[in-house]
Amino acid sequence: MENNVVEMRDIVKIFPPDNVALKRVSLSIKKGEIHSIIGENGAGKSTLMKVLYGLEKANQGEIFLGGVHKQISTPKEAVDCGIGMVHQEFMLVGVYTVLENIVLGDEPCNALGMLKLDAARDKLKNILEQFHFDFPLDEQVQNLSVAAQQKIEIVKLLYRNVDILILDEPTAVLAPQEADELFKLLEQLKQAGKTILFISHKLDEVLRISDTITVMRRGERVWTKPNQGLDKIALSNAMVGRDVMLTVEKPETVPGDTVLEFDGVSVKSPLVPGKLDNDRVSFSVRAGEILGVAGVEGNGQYEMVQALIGALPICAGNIRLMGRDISKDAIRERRRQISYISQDRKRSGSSQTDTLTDNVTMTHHYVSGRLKGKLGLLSVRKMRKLCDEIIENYQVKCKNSSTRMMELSGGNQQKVIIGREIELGCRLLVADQPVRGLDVGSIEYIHKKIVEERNKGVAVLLVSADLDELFSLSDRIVVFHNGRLVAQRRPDETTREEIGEFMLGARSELND
Amino acid sequence: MSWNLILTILSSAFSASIPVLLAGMGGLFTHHANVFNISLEGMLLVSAFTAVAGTMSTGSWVMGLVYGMLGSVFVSLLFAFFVLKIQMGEFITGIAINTLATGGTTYFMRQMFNVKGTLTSPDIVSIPKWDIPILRDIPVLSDILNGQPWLFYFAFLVVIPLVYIVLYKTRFGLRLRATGFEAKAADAVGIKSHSYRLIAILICGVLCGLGGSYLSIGYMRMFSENMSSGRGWIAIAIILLTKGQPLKIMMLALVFGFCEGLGMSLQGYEIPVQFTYMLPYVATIIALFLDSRKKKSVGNKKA
Amino acid sequence: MTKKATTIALGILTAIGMGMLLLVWQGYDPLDSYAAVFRYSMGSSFAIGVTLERTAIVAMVALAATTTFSSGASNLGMFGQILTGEIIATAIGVYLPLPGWLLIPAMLIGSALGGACMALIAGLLRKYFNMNEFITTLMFNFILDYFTEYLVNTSMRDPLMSWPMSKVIAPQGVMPRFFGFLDGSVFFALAILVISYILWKNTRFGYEMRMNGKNPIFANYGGCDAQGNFLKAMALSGAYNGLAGCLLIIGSGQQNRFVPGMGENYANEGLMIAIVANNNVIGVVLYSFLFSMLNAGATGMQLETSVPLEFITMLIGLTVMSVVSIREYSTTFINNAKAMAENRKFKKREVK
Repeated sequence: MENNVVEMRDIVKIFPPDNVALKRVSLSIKKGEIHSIIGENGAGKSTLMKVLYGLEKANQGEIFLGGVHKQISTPKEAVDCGIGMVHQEFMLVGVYTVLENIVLGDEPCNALGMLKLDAARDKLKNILEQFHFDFPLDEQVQNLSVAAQQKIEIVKLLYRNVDILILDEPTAVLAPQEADELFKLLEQLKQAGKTILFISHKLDEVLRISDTITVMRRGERVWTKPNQGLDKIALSNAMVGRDVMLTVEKPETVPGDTVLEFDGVSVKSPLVPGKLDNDRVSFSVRAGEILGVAGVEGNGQYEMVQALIGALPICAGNIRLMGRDISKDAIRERRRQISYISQDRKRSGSSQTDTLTDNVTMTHHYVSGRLKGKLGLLSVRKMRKLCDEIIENYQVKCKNSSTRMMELSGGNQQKVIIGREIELGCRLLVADQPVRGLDVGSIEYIHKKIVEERNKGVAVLLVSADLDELFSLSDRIVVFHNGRLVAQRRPDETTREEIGEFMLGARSELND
Repeated sequence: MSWNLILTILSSAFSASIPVLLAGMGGLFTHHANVFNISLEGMLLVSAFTAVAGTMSTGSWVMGLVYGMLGSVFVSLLFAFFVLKIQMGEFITGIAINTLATGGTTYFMRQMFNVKGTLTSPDIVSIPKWDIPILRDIPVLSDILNGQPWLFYFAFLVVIPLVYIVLYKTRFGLRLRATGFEAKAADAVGIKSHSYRLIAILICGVLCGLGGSYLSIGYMRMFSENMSSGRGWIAIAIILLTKGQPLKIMMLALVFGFCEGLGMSLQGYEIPVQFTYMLPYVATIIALFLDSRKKKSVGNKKA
Repeated sequence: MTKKATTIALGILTAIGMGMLLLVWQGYDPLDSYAAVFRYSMGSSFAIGVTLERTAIVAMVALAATTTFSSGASNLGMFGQILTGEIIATAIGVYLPLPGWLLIPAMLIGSALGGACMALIAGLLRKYFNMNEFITTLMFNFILDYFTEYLVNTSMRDPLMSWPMSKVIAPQGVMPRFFGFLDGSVFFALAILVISYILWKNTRFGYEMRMNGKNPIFANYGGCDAQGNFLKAMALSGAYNGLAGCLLIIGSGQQNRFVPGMGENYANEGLMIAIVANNNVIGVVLYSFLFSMLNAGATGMQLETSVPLEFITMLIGLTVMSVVSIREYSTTFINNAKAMAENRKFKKREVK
């Protein structure tokens, strides 16, 4: 009991109106250990940690730190108790400098409230030296790499003398080599006496670094065991409650004609003048194949997709779809032939406050003749019929076609979107991070659907930050680094480490 | 154009810019807190009315100022309640408040003073004008800047520097701006972004209160229906154009004041009066246009 | 559907209730005042005609506001576009010698085009120069107000009147009255409402507008021509305002001439109606009628119980705020209540 630096008892958390995220969860953490909490998306691991960190208020339950009952209602109180959290989405103010971000909330100042930031520099120097950090304190945070930003988040916590660090899916945004660096840092922190809570759904990593593993499923803690004699199958079974297909069955196909061709395409950055987000990028996708696009986020993949869709103009080269140059076409024209599953289903892929029917009608309303009614007007009846078909064929769990999009779970929303896009019947399907943040069941299903389309002869362009996904689905993989395509490989001819090297620019196969 | 005319224009330019300037100073706080506040017009109007009512009922300009600020703060509290607590949507709340302000001030003017249109009275005590010793002896400047209500000097010499310092050099300002940029980040380090938004709205109320009071008991000595005449909207335009930077707001407010001063002074001449009245609004559109030429936009703006 | 109906009913009751409270607070007799309002707005066929004529006009403005809110364009230039419609209708009505059956349509079309153009100009300034249409349309309000005032002070002035105003339009330009009390504007507005409803629900244009209003990014990626739709929405919104302006001139119960500054209160009221009706066409009709009733009866109320006219403006503003806050807050309230119920389930288990 005394060894338990953290103990959470019978935590209940309900999100209005009726989403019970935590069903009386109890958890014990020992001092100085690296304790991983795994579970699929929606299992409640993030929520549990947010309760510990004071970002969410539990409806019931108690927290004990070192045997003492503590009331943690705000992040500030958590930090005062020595608990800190590094979130999946970084909580940094991009336009502020590193120094400003680190001291925000605890700024040194004089009696009048005037800032005295220099007083913090000394204390920071010690921390930076102890853990071998090296970033410019006066640079704007938004100009630094994602891995650096993550380290800044950790320094924020160390600056406040935090002893228990919670890391929420930290490697989701890192290349394999950057993840290795992070793990070394975690070891150092452990040596310095800190306790680490590591939330993840990546089983390899968890097995590699943890002392103890806790599995959560559907808002409950399944078990907690020391990391001895455990393997991926045991873990995934506990996470999902059944056998999980970790790879997708993909029959051999012979790819057909070239559907999409990028020929020397360059895209200028709208935000940073003079910067090229895409620099002479060339690749092609053929009918019946899946081309996977790998790369650390922010290396030009997003801009490539935007240029393909027509949202960003290109300044050199051209884009050809089935032989025809579409470089000057508006989005409206391109969408007649391109199905698009966007990265951000809430912002770009759907209208959250509208009904499913309204969401499904998008693009179909001018592309497909199915929705035409009397006098060439849209028929509401046919719109509903399309929606009902999609609900049935894509196993969407919802009340009916008049339900609002936001009332569906993430996985079901994505299924509606994918249903809509696939039903357009286009020759090219673009999928940008299609399963990010979804539960295992939805992931399996959506991967199956994507492979089904590929088998039917659709050309698929798959952009993903998840190397596992890319390796299991792609027929070929290309890697983006600094806006250029630096490598192309077949999954069976390469390894994750090799792709990681390309992602980080340690290697490159450019011709010039 | 005679020299005297130019001096008159410049003098009224500085004076006319104060309401817009103060409203701009107030509005920039809500801008930096990422609150879309379009109730500035309503705040100016209400405070102009309450200031006049205040002086008339108490016979003192001090109370006039106090009442003016109270009126505007009341409006800001209303705005804060509906936007922050009920989460009614900033645009709708702003429009509704502006409508209420227009209807309300006209209604109460009738109820309390039995007047329609314009309320003038010898009982209105205006803010005392200052005759500044050194300034009065400088030839040109004295004609332009001397003899203004003291609030004028206060606005330029105290309010503007204070706003600048608070915004960029204090802990409060750092946190306020952080709330506006990334409320999540602020919340994560324990800064209650909710409270900062509320404080920003209140500060806006106070400063608009000063601006509206200046309008009715400083610059002029009366209250007329819809007296604010779009000054609140012009302040919003200025805030958007300058992205909330105090010094730039001051400069644009002066430009606006200049146009208004020009408009008033040209009245006697052959230009139809309506065109001179149009000047400030046309100037705002031109300012927007010039600003757009500065930005080099690349890519699809609508995306 | 029933949820929408309940909210509307609730809104109407709130309006009446608030009105009573306010009247009592200000020391007036609520029942007498309401009786006067009712009598002057619905008490005779003449009164009904006046109320309906007013409803027609304000409904047009509300449609303009609905179009702009639903499509994500910010057209705040209601007043300016109404003025444009009014001045063009007046100009055509005074200076174009056409027979009635040509003149009235000419005025309607002319003012619709005029309003559309003014809004479109702001839209184009946004498209080509990224000038915020919110501010430009607002500034146009003031500029047009002064400009139209200038016109009736000079070239369009009626020499016979002591205050500056335009001449009266040709008698054949005035809307005919049907059944002795129903102005033609009412039928015209009805037709426009039906067309608008169909436009909104059943056309590609309407669909794209709605989606663009709810989530322009989604609409853009879905292939909706964001910029084109934006311009169309602005133009349509301006057209509605122009029509409202025209009806203000040609209605049989109106002055049939342009007086500087006329129509300003309709602009605000139209905005309020769109807000409180939540951009729903049926709601627009009902609230337009309700507010017109209040306004039409206000003169009577002032005569009989001496409640000032501006009371109604305040009442309308307060009603809008109450209805909208109830609407916004009720969802949060219901959700929180459901969550508490779930929480209790967990407590019960412990007792077992």
